[in-house]
Amino acid sequence: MDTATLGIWSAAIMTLFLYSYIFVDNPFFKFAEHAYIGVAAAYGMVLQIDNMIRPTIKTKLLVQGQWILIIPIILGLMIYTRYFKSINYIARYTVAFMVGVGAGVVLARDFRASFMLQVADTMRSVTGPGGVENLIVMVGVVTTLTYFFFTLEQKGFVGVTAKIGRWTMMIALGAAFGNTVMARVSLFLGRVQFLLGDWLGIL
Amino acid sequence: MRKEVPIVICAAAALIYVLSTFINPTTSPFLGKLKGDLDTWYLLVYAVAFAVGLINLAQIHLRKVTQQRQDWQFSIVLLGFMATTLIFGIFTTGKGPVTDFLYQYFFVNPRATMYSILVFYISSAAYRAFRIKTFEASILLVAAVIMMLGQAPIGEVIWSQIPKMSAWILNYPNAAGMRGITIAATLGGVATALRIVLGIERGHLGGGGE
Amino acid sequence: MWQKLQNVDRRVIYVLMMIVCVYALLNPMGLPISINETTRMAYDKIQALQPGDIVWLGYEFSAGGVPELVPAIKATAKMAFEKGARIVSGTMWLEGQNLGGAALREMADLQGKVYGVDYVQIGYKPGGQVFLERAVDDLWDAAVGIDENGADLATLPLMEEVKSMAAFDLIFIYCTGNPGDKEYVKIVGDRLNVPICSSVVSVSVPESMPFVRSGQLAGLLMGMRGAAEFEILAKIPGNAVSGMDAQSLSHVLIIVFIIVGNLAFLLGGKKGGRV
Repeated sequence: MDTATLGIWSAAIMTLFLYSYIFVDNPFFKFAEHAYIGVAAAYGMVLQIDNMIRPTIKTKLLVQGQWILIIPIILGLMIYTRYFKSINYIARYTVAFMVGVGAGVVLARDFRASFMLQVADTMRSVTGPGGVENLIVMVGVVTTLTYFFFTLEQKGFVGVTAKIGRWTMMIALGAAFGNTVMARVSLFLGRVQFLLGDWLGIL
Repeated sequence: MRKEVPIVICAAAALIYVLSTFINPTTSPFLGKLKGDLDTWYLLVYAVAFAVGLINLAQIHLRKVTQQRQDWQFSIVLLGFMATTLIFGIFTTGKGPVTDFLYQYFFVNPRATMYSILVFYISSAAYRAFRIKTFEASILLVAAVIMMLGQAPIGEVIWSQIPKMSAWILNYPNAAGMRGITIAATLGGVATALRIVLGIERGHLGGGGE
Repeated sequence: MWQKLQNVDRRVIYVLMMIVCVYALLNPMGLPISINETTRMAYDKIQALQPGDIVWLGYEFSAGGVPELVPAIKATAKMAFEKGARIVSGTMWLEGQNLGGAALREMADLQGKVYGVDYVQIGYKPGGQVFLERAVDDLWDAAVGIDENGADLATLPLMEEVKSMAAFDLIFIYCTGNPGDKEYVKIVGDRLNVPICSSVVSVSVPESMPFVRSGQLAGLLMGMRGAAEFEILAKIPGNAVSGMDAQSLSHVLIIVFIIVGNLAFLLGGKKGGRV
């Protein structure tokens, strides 16, 4: 039996073990689940070493002499001090650095792309071709935002506006549900195509 | 100092990003280089710090084995597969035959299977939990049904207008609702980022906020 | 009867779904698949490519995106190669490297394309959206100077023309979540004048639509339906097209479940159900 055939049989058996859970929790499912989690956790670290750490040390440090990169390596290693009670505060520096960069990306990028440009696009002409649709989008966005104003008592004009916003969101969530059904079915179809095609050769 | 220094580090990193957005690299090449170096450092820190999750998982399951808690035998399976992948991955790279085999047949396929189990739960939810009790629920249902029929070829067979209705829903009311949610979420995210940078939010440092 | 229907064992529902999907895959009906406007927009972007243009393919997905996204990768690669374009690919997701990479390699081999000259795969690079931040200015540094196999980028002729994301004439990404198309839009699209097309899993379609409407996304493939449409346009009908009939029947089944479930609830004495 060659490696590919052994692999396909292994994957098929793992797949069936995992599906058995929907009928009843059982040791086969638990075996498959634990095996998968073990490989998943380790593989991520393998890729970090292969794709970043090893080439950085081999090329950037040892060949190009960028010794300043020792600093981020040490900064990364500092997070492991969290396992030692007396010095676990040092891990905060690593976390602070990563959170700071993440916050910087949000402040520098999100505001324009996800807020300003979205607001600007909402303000389209409501006369002329496509005017009705533009009006629907404008009303929908404003009413949806009104719904999220929890500091305003939602009655009277504000209440009506918030209600329309809720209806708009219901349509959006309905669309999301419909698409979610499609996504889940697609996932299952992929597995069936694997079992019937790659494994059993029926498809 | 144990809390102040991390707050300064956090604020400095974020400030470099914000300044580099508003100050052109040609005007200040130093700032451009600083931001580039910050990115490079982040990528490296991310990779080096990645093992935290792995270590936490190993700790939990080692404890299960040593204390012989329920299903401890499966923890041995987990640790065994983890160790095998790690050892072969480090010494033969991620593309070695053993690592590749484990990745293809014990990671990718089971992961896809785990996600696909949701189709059964969504079917069960559709039958047992999706109840049209209010007007809003009816709106949701009608939109969902039009979407499901419109995205599948059968919709066009039933009535040629269904795909157009589904596209109209996606392009206009859905876009409006999702845009409102996106704008609100962005404002929330920006506010939180500001609070973190200004040191008001300190949950990530292991303490409460002000 | 309605009370009995309310209490149907959920495993019956599971088995019905399995039967419908397996039956539809084994007995395809060949229902026609029309092309959505957003798919057409993405197709037009590919058709506008000139020989020598360089396309970035971003495999920003996990194993859960395979049925909906891998067919789209194959169709995109085939069409791009046919236009004489060259491809550089990479990913911020662990699994994207192998899943997407295998699909591109398959299409490149079919068309006799040479690695390093016609296409390069830089593979997975850690850091999430910060990788994109770096890649916008210096892709080589973001990629640590190597491709997915560890080869020096300087040995790959195509990479001499690609120093940053600004070198690309089109960006086509395949996403299952975060980081995904929104990160490309805010980090790459906002700073560079490069059109971005996205193929997303169905779950992400509603939240991507505002960006299509604002023009920040130049085209959108919607899940397996979008992948099937692209397979038809590329003239390589495959798993996505063959899956659409099963999609149709399973969607009808879900709608039947909703209707019967609500009828049983209304007519059988109102008793809520546990999932």
